[in-house]
Amino acid sequence: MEKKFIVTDEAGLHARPATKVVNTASRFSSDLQLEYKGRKVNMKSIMGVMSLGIPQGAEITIFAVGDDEAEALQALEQELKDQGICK
Amino acid sequence: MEKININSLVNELNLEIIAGTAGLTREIESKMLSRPGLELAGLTDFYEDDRIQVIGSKELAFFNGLAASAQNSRSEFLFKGQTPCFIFSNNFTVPQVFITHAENYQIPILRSQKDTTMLLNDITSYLAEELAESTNMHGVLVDVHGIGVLIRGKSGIGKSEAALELVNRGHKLIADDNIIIYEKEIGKLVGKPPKLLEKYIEIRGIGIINIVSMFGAGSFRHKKRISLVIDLDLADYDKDYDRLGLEDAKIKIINTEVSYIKIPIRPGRNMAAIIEVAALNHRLRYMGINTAQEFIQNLNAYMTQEN
Repeated sequence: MEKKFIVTDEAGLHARPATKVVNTASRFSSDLQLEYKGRKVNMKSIMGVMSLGIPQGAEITIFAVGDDEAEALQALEQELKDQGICK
Repeated sequence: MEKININSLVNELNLEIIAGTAGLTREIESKMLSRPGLELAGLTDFYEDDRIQVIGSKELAFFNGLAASAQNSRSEFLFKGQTPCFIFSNNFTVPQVFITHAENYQIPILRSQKDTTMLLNDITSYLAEELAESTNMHGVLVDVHGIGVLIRGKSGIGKSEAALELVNRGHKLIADDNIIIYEKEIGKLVGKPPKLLEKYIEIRGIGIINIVSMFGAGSFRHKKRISLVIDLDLADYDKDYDRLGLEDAKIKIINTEVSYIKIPIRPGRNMAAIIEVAALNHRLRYMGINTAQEFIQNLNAYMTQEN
């Protein structure tokens, strides 16, 4: 499964919200990947997520593969919205 | 297809911009270079206009001996294609006609202090690296006794901790977490960290650590050729692990085959020591010493003797 988001936070996906998103991702056993500008990183890794340096306005895609992929994707979407990072 | 623009070439190779500033955002796609001597002599059928044109002493000496009209038309021909830029070596004075065409066609002319052979070397090696096919991978890359070891495995399995322990033992970290891997040539994979992650490692419960300020400048390398891939795997003894070390497994990354081993982990196994030994064993094999084969030979010899 995959889902696209647009980053609306003016600071982009910066350190603190990135941590929350990564922690959320780590709760699931599915393989979760985040893609930006053609580079894919493991969403359970804070360093990986931050290495993308995702700014405001960026289009990002989350890929989920595994037993709990639907729940994971839903939880991540919720987290991104609650944090005001994406809409 | 990877691309780089002229600006990065200028910065990396310390080139001087002589003319055609408007074209500095032009992109380079070809790893090849061209020396347009034949074209300056009037033979234009083979002009490789997708490449950077390097002009050295031979081309320039010949060009300066031409009549003014030929100088104008033959140099203009070079600008009519899609050439990314021109580079003059040896700090040579760039002829005025070249400068005029560069401004008209908005193609940069750059100049280097170096002599032609050195310059060609520098450009080729820079382009080979930047335009190489690349991918990124989750894992850590460590230089263990001079061997580039890529450690992979699921999140939370202890890759970064193993890397930290290795650094603590005097080995070098290249990248933690996200590794950019490019194929400099077939058979040669090189790994480096994304710019933002250079020197950093994340340890759960502690946070982000700067390896260089904590362990010193000797504990970090910017890039390293990858010679061995190790997958850390939660121990599952229903799976078959190599017990003797007879297998010579390979894994393909981009188009290159690299030696590959899978190590089962369990709490209490000292990962750093195991990875160190794996690296050294790889090196011994490279030097022609295969312990597993040696052991099997001894065993066979013993059994024939006994019977």
